[in-house]
Amino acid sequence: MIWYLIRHDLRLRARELPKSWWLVPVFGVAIAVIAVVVLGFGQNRERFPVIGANTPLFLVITAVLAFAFTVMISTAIEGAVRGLFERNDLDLLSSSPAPSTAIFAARASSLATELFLGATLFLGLLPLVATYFGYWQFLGMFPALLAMSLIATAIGLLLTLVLVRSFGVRRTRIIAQVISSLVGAGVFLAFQLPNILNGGSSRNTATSFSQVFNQLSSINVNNPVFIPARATILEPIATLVFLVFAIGTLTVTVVLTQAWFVRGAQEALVVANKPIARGVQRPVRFNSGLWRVALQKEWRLILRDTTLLSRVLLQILYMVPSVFVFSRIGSNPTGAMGFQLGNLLAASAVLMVANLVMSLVRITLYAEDVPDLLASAPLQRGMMRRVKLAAALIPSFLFTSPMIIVSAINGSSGWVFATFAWLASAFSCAITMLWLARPIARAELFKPARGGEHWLSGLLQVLSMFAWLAVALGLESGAWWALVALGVGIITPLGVYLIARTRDSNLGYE
Amino acid sequence: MLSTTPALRLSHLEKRFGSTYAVRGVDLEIPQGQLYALLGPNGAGKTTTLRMIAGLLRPDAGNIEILGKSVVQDPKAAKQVLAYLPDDPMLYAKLTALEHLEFVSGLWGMPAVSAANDAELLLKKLGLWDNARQTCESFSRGMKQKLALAAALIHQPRLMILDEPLTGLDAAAARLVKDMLLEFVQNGGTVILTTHILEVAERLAEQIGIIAKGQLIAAGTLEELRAFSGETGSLEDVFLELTAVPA
Repeated sequence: MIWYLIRHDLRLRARELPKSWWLVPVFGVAIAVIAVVVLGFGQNRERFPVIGANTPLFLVITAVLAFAFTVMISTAIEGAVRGLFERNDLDLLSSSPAPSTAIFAARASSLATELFLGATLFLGLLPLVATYFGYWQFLGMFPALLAMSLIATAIGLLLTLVLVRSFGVRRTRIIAQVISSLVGAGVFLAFQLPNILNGGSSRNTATSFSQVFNQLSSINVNNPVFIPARATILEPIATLVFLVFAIGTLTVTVVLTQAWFVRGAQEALVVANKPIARGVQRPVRFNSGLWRVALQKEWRLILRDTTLLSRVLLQILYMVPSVFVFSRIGSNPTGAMGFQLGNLLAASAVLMVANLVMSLVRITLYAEDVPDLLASAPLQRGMMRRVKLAAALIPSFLFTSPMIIVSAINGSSGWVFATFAWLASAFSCAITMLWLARPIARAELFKPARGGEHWLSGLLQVLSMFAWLAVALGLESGAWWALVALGVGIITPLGVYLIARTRDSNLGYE
Repeated sequence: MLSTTPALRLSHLEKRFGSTYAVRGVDLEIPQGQLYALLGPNGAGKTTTLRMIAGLLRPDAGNIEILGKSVVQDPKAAKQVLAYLPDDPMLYAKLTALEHLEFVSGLWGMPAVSAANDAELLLKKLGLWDNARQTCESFSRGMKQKLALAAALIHQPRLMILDEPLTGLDAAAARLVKDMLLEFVQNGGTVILTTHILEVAERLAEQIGIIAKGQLIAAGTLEELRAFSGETGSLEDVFLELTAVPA
């Protein structure tokens, strides 16, 4: 029974993956890499270098594993919420003769498999490369990742239950997504720290890292904290201990908490359906005018969907390092360190407004919940599209305008060009997205396989954004690349408009 | 006194999906102030016909006139007097009932003050007033259906197109909706509805049209349909006789 349920669960998880053409070449490359490793190992096998147990090596391995483990836990929470609550099949399974322990164990096992495969995808190349050079012991990373996946699954499931019981399913889903995004953003920002800090601080940062590393090097090499690291270099006892501990942790979690989980899931579903505050007997007041009520409706929908809102704001967070990098290039095309406030703000405003427009247009224009209602309303052709674009553009401009204002007040000579690029960047992205629009279910908006969004759309949005960034940074100095970028920035939305305006917008409403 | 302009006139209406005819050569005229039931087996073309009337699908051939206004040539004027209620209620999950009604009244350009008063009246009549400031995501299927009906009525249409309007309603709510539809018709409005519950059509509708394989195969009062089919029993018997697939 349990194998049947695991297979069923894995099939559902596989169907949630994007069906993309690039999976075929990725699979091909993976096969090629393994073939090269096998051949290389054959050539290097005479050397068989021995890896001695030493604290610095274990520290590096532990750091890599710790990073992977953090990502695994956040993924496990998301996966647990999805597997236990979003598929809505727990009632069906619970009402079947299948024992609840088997159902829960199957869910846990498939989640652990998903984590292990995900971790292997990102870290699997490291042991293969090491093996190619004869360090076959690093193949121990695979059992180590498996053990970590099992432990992360146990922790993820427990955290999910606690969160669901405390906050409900919907908020837990949001918390899981926010944690996942913050982990990703945190790691990304940590890697970009030297770029973010000014001048020669990258050297200072390296020095600080070195000091911390030296302090940690005093840890005894036999400290149990290094068991995962020892397992990674395939020390037999450490590998066995780590795997047994992981299997035991997940088994104990499943056996002891399965009833708790099933009850928690049922209660959570009931709580989710409970009505919220009763109607208040205040006088009813409506606003008048299509623009007013339609804008209000779009903004209410964005603000009340905390999942979408958090994703939009986190996208801005991801932009922070890029802003510093580009502003530095803008101050000195030779790439020397240091930036001016004006360039920093120009780069920030152009990048952020384009990103906000991209996210918000996707929400307002693409993810219309009830297109039939709009299509059946007596509106002029194109009216609702204009309202929805405005609903995306207005907050984007409001959010980023302080940067342009500060740039102007600061006396930055290029602020006029920056303002021009800021406006053009937003409108270019909006026009490109409008004319290559395809409807997307709101729940699919930020998933990897985004409901059939036109493949050209994303490419042109990014092209347009960077073109206007180049205009903002280089037009004042008359740099040749800024003029080229100006051409690209103008031609991109114009071309899309001329090609696509002859057909319907595909949105199901006008 | 009702105008003699028909509430709905379909002339040689056609719609194809690929090479398959969903609707083929449908001619129909429904006077104002009637409740008309459009019946047919699954896949007969009822919903496609209703979606063309509501302006959601463009016909491949033929014309649709709502109170003398062509849906194809003057969609804005035609839609102004039309309300469409599909079988799956068109609601925004994250808007409250009142906010949804405010948005719909804005779409139809209704004056804010009268729309707010009408919203309150409709919600009270439909038993949703206590839930007026709750988001629609917390509503049951029946509550959603009732709110969608309120949204259809708030812009004071003269023709209502309803696709399975009683789906998901309990007995009391179904009775309430039926009474509201009859009241709407008594006040001069016209209702066209589809339903699979033939007793509802038999009790409510003055005229009945039966559509099969995209064609209107019979239309008239129940007595006229009985005479046409040669079946003297209930509407269910008549319907089964007319739509029976020859052995």
